[in-house]
Amino acid sequence: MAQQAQFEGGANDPRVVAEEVARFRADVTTLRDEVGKVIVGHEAIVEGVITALLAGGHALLEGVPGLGKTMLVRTLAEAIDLTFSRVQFTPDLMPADILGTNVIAEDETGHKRFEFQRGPIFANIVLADEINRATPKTQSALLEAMQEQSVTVAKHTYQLAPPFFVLATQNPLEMEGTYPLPEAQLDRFFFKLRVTFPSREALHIIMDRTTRAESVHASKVVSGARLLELRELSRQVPVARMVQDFALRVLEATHPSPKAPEATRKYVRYGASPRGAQALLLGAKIRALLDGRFAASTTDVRAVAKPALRHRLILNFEGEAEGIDPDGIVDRILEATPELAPG
Amino acid sequence: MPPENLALRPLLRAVRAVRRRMRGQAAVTAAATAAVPAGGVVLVSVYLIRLGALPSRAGLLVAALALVMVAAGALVAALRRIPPPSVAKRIDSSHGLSDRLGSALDFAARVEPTAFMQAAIADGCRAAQGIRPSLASPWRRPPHLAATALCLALTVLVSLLRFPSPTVAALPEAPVLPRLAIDRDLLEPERDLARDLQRQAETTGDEDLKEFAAQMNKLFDQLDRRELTRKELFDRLAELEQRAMKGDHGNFEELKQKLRKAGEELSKDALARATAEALKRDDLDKAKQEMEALAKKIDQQKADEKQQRALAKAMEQAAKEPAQTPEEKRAIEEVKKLEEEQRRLKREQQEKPKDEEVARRLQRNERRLEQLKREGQARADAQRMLQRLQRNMQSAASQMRDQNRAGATQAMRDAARELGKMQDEIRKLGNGRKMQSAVGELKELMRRMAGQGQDGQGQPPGEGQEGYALGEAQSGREGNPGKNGQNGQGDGKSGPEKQKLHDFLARAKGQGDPDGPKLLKPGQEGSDGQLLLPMGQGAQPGRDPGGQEQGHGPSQGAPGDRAGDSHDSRLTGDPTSLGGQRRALRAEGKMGAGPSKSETILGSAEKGFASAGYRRVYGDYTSVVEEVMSKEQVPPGYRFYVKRYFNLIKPRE
Repeated sequence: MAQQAQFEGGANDPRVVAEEVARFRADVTTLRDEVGKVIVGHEAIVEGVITALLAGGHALLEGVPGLGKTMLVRTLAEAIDLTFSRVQFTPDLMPADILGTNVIAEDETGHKRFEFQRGPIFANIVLADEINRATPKTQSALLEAMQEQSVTVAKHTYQLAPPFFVLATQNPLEMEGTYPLPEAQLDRFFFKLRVTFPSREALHIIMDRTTRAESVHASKVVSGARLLELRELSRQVPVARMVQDFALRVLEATHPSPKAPEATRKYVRYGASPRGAQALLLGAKIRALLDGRFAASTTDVRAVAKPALRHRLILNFEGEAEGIDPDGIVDRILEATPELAPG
Repeated sequence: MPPENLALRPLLRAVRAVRRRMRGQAAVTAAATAAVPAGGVVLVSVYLIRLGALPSRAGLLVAALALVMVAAGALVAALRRIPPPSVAKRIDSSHGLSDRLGSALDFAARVEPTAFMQAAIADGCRAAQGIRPSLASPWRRPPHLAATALCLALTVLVSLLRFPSPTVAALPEAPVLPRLAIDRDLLEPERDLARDLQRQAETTGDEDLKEFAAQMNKLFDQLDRRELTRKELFDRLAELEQRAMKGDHGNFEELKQKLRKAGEELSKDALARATAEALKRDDLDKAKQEMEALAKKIDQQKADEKQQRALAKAMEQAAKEPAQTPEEKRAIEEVKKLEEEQRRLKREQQEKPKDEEVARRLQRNERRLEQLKREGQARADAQRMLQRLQRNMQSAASQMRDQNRAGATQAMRDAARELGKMQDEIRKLGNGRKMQSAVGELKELMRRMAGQGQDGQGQPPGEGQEGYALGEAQSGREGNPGKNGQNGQGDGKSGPEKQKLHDFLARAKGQGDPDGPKLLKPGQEGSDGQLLLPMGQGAQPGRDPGGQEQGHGPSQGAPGDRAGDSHDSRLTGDPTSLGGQRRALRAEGKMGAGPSKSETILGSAEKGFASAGYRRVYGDYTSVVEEVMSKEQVPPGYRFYVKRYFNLIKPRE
């Protein structure tokens, strides 16, 4: 908080801004490096998760089992001085299992009353493992928590302590007995990150680290308060009109309008919501800070376009039938969208 | 400059530097693009100049316009507005600045930039200090440079190529037809004829003849002035011939024959003998006068009753319808036969529509039939005139028998008037034929001169090439080689044929060359020469087949009218070799009467001197000759000389 006050006091001084940006970079780098001690070969995923965390959003990790998704989230929670809870989503998981429920409790005087027993969602970092295995009813229990950062149980609303960050994972292969997330649920995720198979070099390191006697653990390098400062700072990064215009034109290009690229018109049923543009710009801002710059650029928008948009593109029947990858459509959109508005 | 902009100076400087390069690049690109159509225009203009279709000055103008076009294109491109964000974007992209400059420019334009924005501006300015304009806007080859270079190369190539003469091919000038230049002497006989016709027209009051004579004289004057080409001359002659042929369908020979018959009947009466004699002589003018005199005599009661009865009887006899002449019978028979033949041919043609021989015969028959019908019509016209005369004579005879002197006198005067009319018609027909003859003669003269290269074609006499060599005209007898042959060598002044014509004229007029062949005169032996009519078979048969203008005559042409100078190519065996051994012989002519069939009259006839006038004799002979030539197949060469001979010996005033 003291740092935040310091920053706010010199908000009009570019030199202070420069220092804050430098500190931002240093802190995030430290966090990244700390996570990198455990997680190997997923630098981009780590950066994406951190970006989502700093942006105040949530991240959906998609990948086959065994790639370290859960490990990544747990490591991140370890590196940040925040509470962490993990929910293993199963078909019989009920919303109350996540949110919590009122239970009868007897006080010292012998009176019995309902007492809200908080569920695992009441943590700073929540890992919703294999989220698509739970029923939609249970999945939707996360909606309010993710968006409003509050939980309402029995007409009583409970605020979740900031920062609140949900990291969900899902397995794209084992689709039997799963419940794909509805569009509204997907839109709540700031980024959707694809965890890919690590390279051989990365595997070597993973083998070396995980087959030894001693295990590696991440230390807490960033506090929750600092995380909130960093989040606040990232939101102050300005965006030039042309960059913002580019982001909006990219967003518009995801909709199958006559002006949209052919891939969009052919395979997309519905494009990204304005949340997509917010994700683009917030992600670009954080990326600019991570790069030591004071303003977001079109390059940053391009860099975050896939994680920000891929889960927001709703493919049409043809796209689904042909197995079109939304990343390909985003690539086409980025190719077709000039960085400067024509005219 | 505002203080906040001072910090932007490096940024703005970089933007301006890059923008200058961008403008230059755009100018070069636009110039290259504009140079393609401009080069095309120049190429076309150079090509047209080389062809001569455009003047060189126009080429300069086109080149200037092309330069202006290129310069204008470059100028417009250079002055086109380039927004600073575009320049900044280019710099950011080329230098990997992640929109630092673009964002800085954008934030600098804000009213109240935040600290982050100021930091971004400062960051952009720092980044701008290290930029290289050449990296941001590198010089690129204009996209149309190859096309421009191609146009330029083609232009140079076209300007270096050797083209045909730049002058536009002149339109072929209409050939100037040479004017006819005819020796005045050659036309003298025709000129005399025209003068005769004019005098005759003035005498008889024949307006057609007068007009014809005037036209002929005008034609001769134009020929003298060399105002006519050969074609114009023949056109004019064709017009004159058409005029002369107008109404030429009469045939008064049978009428004259019947009038002579009537004259024989009248001659039985003493009073009408003078009239009868005139009729027998075909002198209808005299007959008219005598008839009028007879009428006057009756009117003045100078003839008694007996004489009148005798006269009435003679007139009745003379007025009887004479029997058909053999010619009339023959013509009627021929018409019948031709009509029958015509019907038959038409039937045959219907059966064989493609038979050309039948069609040809049918056409020939039609022509002949038409001619006979025209003659029949003319004969009928003459017959009507004769019938009027006969009616008047019968009326006069009847009145005399009735002692109606006045009526008889009037009828005889009417008869005299009919005779006058007949005479006029006959004279008109004769005049028309004379006109035709004059035109035909002139045409024939022109044809012959053209055929022999004699018409001069606009060159003065003596300058033209005599395109015809008669060779050493073997005229004269042995020992008298004759100057004629020498003159025929073509000395550039007079050709052999022309000289022959001159000689012919001179001989016909009795003015022969003392050194050349002469007409035989009484008392002269035939040793000096003889009249040479160049009527040999000639080496050039059929050079003018069928005539040039009228298209009459057989297609194989008529034989030449000169002595031949080579062998017939169809002869078998070797031609006479000139290299063979020859022996010069001199053949002496025998003196004396010899076996000639001609008889030389050395003195006056025992019956006395000829009493008939030359004019009358000439007329008789001329009419006989004309009749013969119109009926008989006479070669054109002969025809020309015969006509010309009679023209020359025509009696003059």
